[in-house]
Amino acid sequence: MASRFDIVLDNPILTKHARSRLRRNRVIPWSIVVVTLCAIVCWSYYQINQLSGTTPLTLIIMLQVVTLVFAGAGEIGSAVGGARESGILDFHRVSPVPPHWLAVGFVLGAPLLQYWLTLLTVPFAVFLAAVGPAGWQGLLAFEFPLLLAAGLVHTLTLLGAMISKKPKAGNRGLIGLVVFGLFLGQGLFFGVQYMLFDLSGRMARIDFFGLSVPWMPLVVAYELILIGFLFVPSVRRMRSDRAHLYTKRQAMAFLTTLMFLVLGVTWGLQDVDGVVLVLLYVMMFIAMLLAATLTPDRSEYIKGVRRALRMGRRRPNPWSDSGVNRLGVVVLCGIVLIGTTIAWEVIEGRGEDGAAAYSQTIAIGVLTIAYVGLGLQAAQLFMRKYGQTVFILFLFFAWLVPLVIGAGLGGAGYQNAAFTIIAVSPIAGVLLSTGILRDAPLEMSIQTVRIASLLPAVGFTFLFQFLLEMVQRRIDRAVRGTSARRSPDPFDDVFGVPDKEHDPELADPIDGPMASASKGNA
Amino acid sequence: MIHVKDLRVDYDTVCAVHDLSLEVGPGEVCGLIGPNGAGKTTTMRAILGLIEPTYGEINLAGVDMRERPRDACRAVAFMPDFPPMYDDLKVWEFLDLFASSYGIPRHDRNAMIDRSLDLVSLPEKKNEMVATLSRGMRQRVMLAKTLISDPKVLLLDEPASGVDPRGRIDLKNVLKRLSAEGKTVLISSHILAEMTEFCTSVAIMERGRMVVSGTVDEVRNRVMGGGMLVIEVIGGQADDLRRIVAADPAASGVEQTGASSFEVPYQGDAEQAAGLLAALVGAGVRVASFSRRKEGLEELFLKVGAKELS
Repeated sequence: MASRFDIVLDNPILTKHARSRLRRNRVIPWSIVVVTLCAIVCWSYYQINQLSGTTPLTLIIMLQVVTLVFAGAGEIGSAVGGARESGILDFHRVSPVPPHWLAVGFVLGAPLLQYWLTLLTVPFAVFLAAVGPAGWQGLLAFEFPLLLAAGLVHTLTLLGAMISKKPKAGNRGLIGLVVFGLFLGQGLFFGVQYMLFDLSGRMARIDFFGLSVPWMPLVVAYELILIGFLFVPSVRRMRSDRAHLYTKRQAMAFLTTLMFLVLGVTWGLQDVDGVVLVLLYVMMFIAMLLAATLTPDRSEYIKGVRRALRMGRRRPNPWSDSGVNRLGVVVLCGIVLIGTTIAWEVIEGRGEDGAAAYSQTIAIGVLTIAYVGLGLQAAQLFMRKYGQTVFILFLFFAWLVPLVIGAGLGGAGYQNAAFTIIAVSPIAGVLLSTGILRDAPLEMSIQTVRIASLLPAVGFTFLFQFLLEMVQRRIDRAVRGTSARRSPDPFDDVFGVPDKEHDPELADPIDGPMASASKGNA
Repeated sequence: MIHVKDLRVDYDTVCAVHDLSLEVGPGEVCGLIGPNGAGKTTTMRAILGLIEPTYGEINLAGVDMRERPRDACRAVAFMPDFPPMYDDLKVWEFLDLFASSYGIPRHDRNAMIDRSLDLVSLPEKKNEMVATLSRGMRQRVMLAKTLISDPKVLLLDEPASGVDPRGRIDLKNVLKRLSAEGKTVLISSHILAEMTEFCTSVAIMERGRMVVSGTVDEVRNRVMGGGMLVIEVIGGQADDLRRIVAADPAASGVEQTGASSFEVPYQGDAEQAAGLLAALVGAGVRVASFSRRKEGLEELFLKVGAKELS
């Protein structure tokens, strides 16, 4: 009888990996290598009488990082990439195994050898922690962030391998991940460790919506939620290579949860300047990414229109059909609007500039999300496969070029013009519209800057909404025209099939959905 | 068992499958025929749910593919033309992976693996690594994998490609056996001569459309206009033969193909053909042989292709 643990205990992909990854001819040589390396570390530091220092333990932990985080991620990337590229993933897709089982099978199964090798290092780490100053709490302070980092990196690798157009490119992404890990991740790793435990080994605490809670469970909860939401697109891609990463509902849930979690930890930062600003920038970025995941390409929109016509509708359903993103974008904008307004009203509080302090800023941020979502869809409908590239080019000119020009003008001494042009880009416009530089000894008109930052946001939103509507109407007409056209079938005269028998739409010219749509259009 | 209605699949600006309807019943082996790019593989992949159709109904073994895809998949097995496999597994492990995927209990799996390897004549390869198998053997292991879940519906895309003569004989026997067991098989292949031997129905596709479908005899009648009677007589009795044939409304002319052999385009059924034979014999024509020439799938396909091009 199936149990809820069967996803691990009777997972075919996990079993497959257990067989192929844990063969004696792979496990024994690698185990010897890892144990030997650990033994050499211990013996070397024993010889120089520094076994009780922190260095040997750090070396063992670094070995764990390389083995579990990076080598494990590499195994996931190559296993999933290989399965996609060879086409064997399609066999799993048409089997009764649910997609989330497949994703769990790959993410837990592919690095099984790395789990085992990491496990082999644990006795050495425990020994070094016991004889050194770290103690068990110090060891945990290392191991917890390591496990969390491994979980996050493995999930990201799975996602990368599932969404990459060239499956094997997952390995190239891994190289970037290693570089990130070596140069930036170290700081992050020790930063998280510092937050979990203070120097005396006691667990740090933090306010979550006013309640004092230990850092570690909160970090674990945050990371599990993040992993969960990053897992969703992998599962969706396990089901189909052409599925959007999120449905509208999932994207909304993701952004709402994230907003809730961020508000939770910033709740205690009463009267701290800039909370709204940071929150707005972060949420804008995430909302724009989510809007992009909801955005259909031209063929998806055309499919949506055909489906709609089939069901007797003029347009795809704005909520349930993946061929349109407008409603999804509007809801994402709404979540950011509500979240940042709460942060403004409740956490940071109204500033000296009264009600207008953040109202324009939030509006610019929200409208920027809106025009990115609408503009990307309009570009993809207008320019098919080049749409995305053209839209990125537009963002380059609308967001980065003003910064460069403004910097140039500022350098030449035209401060007022420089700030006005810089404010055109939302990257700086969101910040400048708050009036943060009001008291700075600069030649700038705060009102001009605010207008310069608000106008593009409003203008582009209306422009892209207009263009989107126009191109959608054009495609709608074309699809209805094609559907209603009766091209003679070349086989009709061969087999003597009457038209109305061959084409069911012709049998019902008055009530047939295509015909009705066509007449409606005319 | 396979019920497809008004299936449409679009790729960007190309309509790969255009409002296709197809019905394949239990015990039927249906050959899906068409030139490259006709939409056969797309149709199969859409039926399996690997490609999201623009619209259309797909029902497998009584289960709606869109509403309950997992349940539908339980009844279906698929074999592509170039089977991907896990090279780092042994043959039995590979089969066990899919036996497990289809929910076969652990204690039954070994027997199922042995049975399906026997069906494809590869029992001795059970403990070999998949990587060591030849292309033909991989194809046979893939067929074993397809059969291991005892599916009600099988979709086979070019299953004989790369298979040696022995493997083809096995495949033919397996298909006949599946048909006898009441399984539904949709098979696409370019080796039309072999398909003639085991297909009970045929569906011909061209440029994303279903041109014609039905039992082989129905399609033959529609495409070839009922077929051709081949008559050989002893002695020079051509005039008598022409006179009697001309009187039969189902016949449309006589063509002399040899000194004493004739071909008669004939629309009538077996009963009417028997009547014509009786009339010939009754009129004293000494009939040495009288048979209806049955065109194979190759001829049907070429005929449809020629009409399409014209």
